Amino acid sequence: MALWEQAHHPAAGGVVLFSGEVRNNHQGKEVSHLSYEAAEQMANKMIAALLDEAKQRWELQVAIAVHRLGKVSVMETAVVVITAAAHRAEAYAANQYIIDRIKHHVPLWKCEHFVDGGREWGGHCSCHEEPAAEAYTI
Amino acid sequence: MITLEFFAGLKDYFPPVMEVRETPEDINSLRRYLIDQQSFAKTLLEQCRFAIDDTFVQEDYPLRQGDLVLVIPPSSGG
Repeated sequence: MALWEQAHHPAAGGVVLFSGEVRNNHQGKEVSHLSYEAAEQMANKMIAALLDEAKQRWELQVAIAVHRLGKVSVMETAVVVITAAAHRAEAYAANQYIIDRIKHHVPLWKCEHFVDGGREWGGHCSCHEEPAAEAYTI
Repeated sequence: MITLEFFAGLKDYFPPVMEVRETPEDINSLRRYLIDQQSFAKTLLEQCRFAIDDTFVQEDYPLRQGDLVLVIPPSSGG
């Protein structure tokens, strides 16, 4: 709610909120939770630069992105991106751009922990603009 | 000597922080050195990017004594 309160602006007619949440399954396996880690200083710098870039490119009034680290349980939010612009088209486009860049370029990693005790580092991104990170199972 | 910092799945093969006494000439040499050290991590190391001073560097980036190099597996945030 605290983030959502920052999302509004008198010149913004469209506000988009994306919440990346933890799913309870992956390729037929039951997921108990995820854990995230980052090259934290570098990731923070990259996200700040990304938000600045998106703000300029789509003339956003508001651009916010927050990614959690550590354990995140099923149905909890792992990442939030909020964009506000004069019109919805810019807010949607900027929001998708920001989350795609975070998933593919920012040094952040998820580890899926399964109910059966196994774990798997890597991505299972549904994006098709570029190959998702190859998963590596331990 | 340079210092390496490893993340995510790479920590199954390397310690979180590792020192390399003989400074490799460049990132490409460092990548080959790491593959020699841990051949089981070859596929992952081939996909990794490297960063110095929080900036990604290219394969021919010359390494210097005292560099702190982040070894960055493919991102999987979100």
